[in-house]
Amino acid sequence: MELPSKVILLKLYRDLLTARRVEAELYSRQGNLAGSGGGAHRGVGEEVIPIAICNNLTETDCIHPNFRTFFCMFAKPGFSVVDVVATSMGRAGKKNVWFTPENGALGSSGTVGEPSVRYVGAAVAAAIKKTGDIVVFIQGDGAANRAPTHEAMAVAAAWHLPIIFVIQNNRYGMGTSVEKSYNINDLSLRGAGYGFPHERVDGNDMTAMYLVAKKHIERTRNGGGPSLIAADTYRLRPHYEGDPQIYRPKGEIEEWWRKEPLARYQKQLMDLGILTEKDVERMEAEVKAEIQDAFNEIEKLPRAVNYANFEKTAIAEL
Amino acid sequence: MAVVTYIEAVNQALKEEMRRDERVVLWGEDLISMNGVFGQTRGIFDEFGGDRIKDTPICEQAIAGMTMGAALRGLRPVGVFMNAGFSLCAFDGLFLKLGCSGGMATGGTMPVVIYGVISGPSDDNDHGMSPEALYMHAPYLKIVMSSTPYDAKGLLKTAIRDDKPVIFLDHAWCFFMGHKDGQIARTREAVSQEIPDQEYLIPFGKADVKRKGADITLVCYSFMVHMALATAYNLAKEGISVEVVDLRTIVPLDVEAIVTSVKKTGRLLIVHEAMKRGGVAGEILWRVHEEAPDLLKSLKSPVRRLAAKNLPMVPAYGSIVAPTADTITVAVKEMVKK
Repeated sequence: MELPSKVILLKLYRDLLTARRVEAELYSRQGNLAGSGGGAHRGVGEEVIPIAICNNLTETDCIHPNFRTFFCMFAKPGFSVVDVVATSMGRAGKKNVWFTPENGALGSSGTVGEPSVRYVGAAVAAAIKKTGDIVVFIQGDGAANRAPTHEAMAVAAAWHLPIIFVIQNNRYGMGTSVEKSYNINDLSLRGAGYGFPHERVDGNDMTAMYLVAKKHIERTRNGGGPSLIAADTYRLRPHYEGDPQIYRPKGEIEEWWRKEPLARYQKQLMDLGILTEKDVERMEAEVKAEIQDAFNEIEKLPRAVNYANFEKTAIAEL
Repeated sequence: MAVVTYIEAVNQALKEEMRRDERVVLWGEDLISMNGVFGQTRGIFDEFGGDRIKDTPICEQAIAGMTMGAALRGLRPVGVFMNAGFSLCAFDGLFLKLGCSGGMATGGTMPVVIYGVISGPSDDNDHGMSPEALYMHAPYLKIVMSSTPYDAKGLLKTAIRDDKPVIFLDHAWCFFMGHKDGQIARTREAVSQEIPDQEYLIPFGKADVKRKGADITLVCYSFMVHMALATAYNLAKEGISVEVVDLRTIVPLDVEAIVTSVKKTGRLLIVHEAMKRGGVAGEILWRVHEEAPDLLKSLKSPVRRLAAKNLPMVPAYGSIVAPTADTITVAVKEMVKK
């Protein structure tokens, strides 16, 4: 396995660090949005998958992130940390990282998996208009069992569309473990029935994930058609903050914290002699400042949600 | 002026809009391999090629959901459902997304047409049911239901040019049947009409008075227009003058046209083929009440609605479940009592 260049490896580290820190800051600022027991759905420890993919995309490619790790969208060309912060804090005036169609963010859904067919539609548009854009649809192991994702793969296969499906397998769909909802361990096998090249990868290994994403994206961009990547990771946090997690085996979370990707990637780069303690210290300070600047910038922006606007745009008669 | 069948009118609308705007694309089940089953898409593949018209696998959620993704990336797709009932497989994509959140995200802009065919009461419930009341509940969906070749062509062209999502529901009985001399007729003549050679569009939210009358206003749409016109023809011989108002679009609803007619006739009968409970008729009555509350107090006869019984459609019982010219006749006579 030939490693990516040092520049790329360091960029990936910087993005992973930024993701971890911006998520923590968002969580601390937003609080738990509690009230009825429903709290934040955090994606700590799953950041490698979207970051590795986003670093292989262009400004006009489309991507649907798993809802837990949408905060990694700053790594998608066309978006920034400010956009992520503004979107999360409900501010207007910046790009919404969930919905900016020209940059390939086409919205998501409370019914997980449903947007898969929407993103196939984007791949149809790319094929018909011959834009050269590709589409990446990331979903969790829970969503990957839903009917629309199967229809999405069926049509993508039949029409040979430029789309890559990614299963971000964090081992839990809410409280139900992947063992209880699948009878396969290698979720990439789901691609076989659709005739897709399919590959399983350690989604907590940044270099492996980056190289697999790069290979699949280049293949699809060159007309190779759809494929499927199953990236294994782990949901370190509860389904929602406040979830008592009665379904978790004892010791499982602690075991996976030992495999979490930030410390692991940092060690890998240090072992390779690419990263030093001093670099880490400097980057931590830079990232902290960048995030602080982003929050300062969005403080002045107006609130994004404006129901009066919705009323103007719906069919007038109510 | 050329005489065309209903199917030919739909086919012309699709082809003309595809010639006019290369962003217009069609997909659905058997659009190429079976000409859309009824012939609506005949010749489109030959003229426009496989980029502009596509046969999908039997994947209704994809037919619906893909329209939104493609529209957000610069196309103007028409997603075709062989049967309108099949669209309920995709209710998430059509109702929750196109009908609700998609509109909120874009400020309403989403140039998508969802076209489906209601098979009618002669078919089973999954093929035959009329889903308009379900879609009427969504804030961002317009709903078109046409009854004649002229209307179908003009309304479908308007739908394709609309920047908001439109649910266009055709009725298969309109493809094969119309009315003639007070009878429902299954002839080519009964489903044909002269239409202009030059291009025309029909605006949404403008009902069409298909027959003028003085004694009672019969509000209807889709194939029930033919039932109503057959009834009106026969009742005229008995001295009862029925005004038939064809809504053409359920959303937006032309309340003004209904109020104007009822002010003249003093009686209102609403007829639809869909089930009565939660149906469009209830909404129409309330809209009339809100628009003209005094009108309902001064009627010569209480408002009535005729709709399918609250039962699934079963072919053998189809004629019993949905309104017919006979049941409409009985209702009108009870209301007019001349």
